[in-house]
Amino acid sequence: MNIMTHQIQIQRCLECRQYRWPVAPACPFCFAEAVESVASRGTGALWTFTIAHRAHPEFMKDVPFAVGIVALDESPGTVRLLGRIVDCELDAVRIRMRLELKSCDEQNGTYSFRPVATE
Amino acid sequence: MRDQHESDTLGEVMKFPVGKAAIVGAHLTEQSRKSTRTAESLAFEAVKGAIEDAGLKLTDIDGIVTPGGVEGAGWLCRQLRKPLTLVGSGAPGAVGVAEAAAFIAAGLCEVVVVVHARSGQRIGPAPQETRKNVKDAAESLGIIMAGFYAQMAQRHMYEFGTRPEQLAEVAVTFRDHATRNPRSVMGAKGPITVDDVLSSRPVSTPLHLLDCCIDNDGGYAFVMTSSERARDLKKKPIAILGGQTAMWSGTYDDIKENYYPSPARLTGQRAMAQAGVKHGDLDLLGIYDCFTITVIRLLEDLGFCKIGEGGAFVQGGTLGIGGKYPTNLDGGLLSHSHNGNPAGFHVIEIARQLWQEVEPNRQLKDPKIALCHHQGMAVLGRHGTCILALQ
Repeated sequence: MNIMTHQIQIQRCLECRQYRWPVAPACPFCFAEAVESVASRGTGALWTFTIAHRAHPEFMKDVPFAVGIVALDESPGTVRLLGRIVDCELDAVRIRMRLELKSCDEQNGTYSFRPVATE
Repeated sequence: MRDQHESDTLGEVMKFPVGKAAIVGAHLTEQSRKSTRTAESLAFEAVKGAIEDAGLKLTDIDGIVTPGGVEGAGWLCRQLRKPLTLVGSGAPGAVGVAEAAAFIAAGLCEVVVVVHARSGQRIGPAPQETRKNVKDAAESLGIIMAGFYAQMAQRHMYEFGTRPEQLAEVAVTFRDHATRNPRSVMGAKGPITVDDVLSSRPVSTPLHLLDCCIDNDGGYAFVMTSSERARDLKKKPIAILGGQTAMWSGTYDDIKENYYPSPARLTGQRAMAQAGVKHGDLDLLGIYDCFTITVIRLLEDLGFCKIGEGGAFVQGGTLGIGGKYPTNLDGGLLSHSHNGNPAGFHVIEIARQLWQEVEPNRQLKDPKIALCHHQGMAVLGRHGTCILALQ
């Protein structure tokens, strides 16, 4: 049973204050190990994407579907997550479009994002 | 990071054993959609053929480069009833060439066979192998390898204005090469146009079916030895003048790193510095071509053009026979063969061009020196670049 949440926890270095992704034992910028876990607001901009017309056999029922890399607002240069883009017409998916987290299955590392209605 | 795009990753040039090892023989088995033979049978044919091509005996082999580590290499030890040195990281292309050259120069072994064959298994979208390689989030999302390269292409188009027809040009050029190569899987289907690529079905936008490599059965092997020993063999040795390997990541979603720092860039700069060659000195290239975007990105990383200019660079026949940088003259992974671990094909086509033994309608006139690049694992995974020169 996977636990669905609506929050992404990201690591932030206590020394240089840089956010990082994915989880790592030390900061990739200053190598300090001291770290805090911060709840991301879950908003960001689409960095790149694809519309998948072919997928693993068990996902073929879903094609075509959109997958993309979302740069979270806390640190768009270092925190970028791969996720499904949902609740959006496929031909309306654009790089830089504003997105927010819809669901988050941390056990499987699966995230879905939807267009931001209003900010 | 973006600000590292043009940064110099060269650093101190390592002391590669320049010219101490050479490629001395090669063999390709039949490449086909559906082989009736086992992978072991194809691999043995390849090894035996490459050894005979070199004028050596099977019992001369004392080292092996092959995927799968100890488990992958054991069959040849049993077959030859002989302990062998397992060379390097088991990547059977330019990475393995660099590693074997270092092993040979250091005296760990003297006759190394680089081999891979496959029959029956497929990369994707068939389940097992891809699911093993594409980790974590990617796996749960269900996308196939093309999906990652597609995202790389989408970003490249956004950032640099690269167009789908520029990607398509790569596939068109390599298909032309394949039509001149009777061994190629796709050559018999005839030439294709940019429109053919763009109208082939979408696999993962912006990549179409013909932007993707094929996925088939087949085997290959080549043999390397010391330059001293190479002098007494059948063929003119192909010396390894430079070789460098580097890796960045084993996960496919690392395209999010904005492509940099690039392991491909580092290997290209160092290999060329070791060999003392410049781009303009090269008569032909082998560039890893699992997807059309891969070639465009790698040509940028390897310094043939500036970052972002790869799309325009490949237009106008640059990579074709008669172009400035003839590349993947066998038809590449896009149209010749992709047998799961296909980087050795690029080495072998370069070797056979340098030996002037390919079909006349794709044979370059008197080529002397080439660059061979190898990508493995993920989008930003393992890379190797070698400079190969006819002695």
